[in-house]
Amino acid sequence: MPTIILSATLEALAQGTAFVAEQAVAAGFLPKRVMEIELAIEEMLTNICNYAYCGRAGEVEVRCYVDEARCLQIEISDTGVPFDILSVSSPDVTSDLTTRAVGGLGLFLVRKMVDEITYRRANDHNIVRLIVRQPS
Amino acid sequence: MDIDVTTTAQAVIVAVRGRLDTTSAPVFEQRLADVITQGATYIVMQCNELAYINSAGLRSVLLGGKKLQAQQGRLVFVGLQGIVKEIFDMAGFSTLFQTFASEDAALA
Repeated sequence: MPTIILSATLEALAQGTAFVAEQAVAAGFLPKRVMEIELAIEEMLTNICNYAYCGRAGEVEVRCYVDEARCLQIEISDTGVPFDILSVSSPDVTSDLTTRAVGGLGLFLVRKMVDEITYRRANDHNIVRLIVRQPS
Repeated sequence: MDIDVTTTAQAVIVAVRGRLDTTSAPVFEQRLADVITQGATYIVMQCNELAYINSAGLRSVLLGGKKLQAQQGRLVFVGLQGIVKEIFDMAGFSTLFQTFASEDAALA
């Protein structure tokens, strides 16, 4: 499976999104959809850069392939603090400006931009799988 | 990412061009904070050349909007299109901030 290993820094983010975008394009996803996928990957990697290693250096591994149904299968893993992204609740997008919470938007956007997200923890790794399906 | 600030009689127009993302959001946030500190009460965000926004960009917009509201000001948007509009709507920002079809409409 095509894999890229990056240092968990904001400078390396672009490499991760480009790596996935290239395969999304090859799988025939339209430019707008590719941009949505890039956004999701950027948000995932940004969260890992900001929170996974608590200031220490660390790495993130991105695996990506197109399956027989031409779905984009992406797996992002890190060895940072245990963190189940599925446990994070979404911000209330209906609240008014005064009460609107500032946080939680990154994962909210990830959820909106992909078709399926799973999380598992194995061998000290947080492993998130994102699946983007072809439009039906 | 470029920011142009134009002050008119009715408003301060902040035009943002390029990508409002993790790297550029802090710069934008600071610029917006400065405009607000200088006393702006009606800020029109001109987004017709804004190509991309992520959660960091949304966060800086939200913080600016809250700050402005605290001094009885308003932040409104013009020119949202493409993926930026999609993300804006998805995050509920279209209910938080008024949007206009044109700068003229925002300044009317």
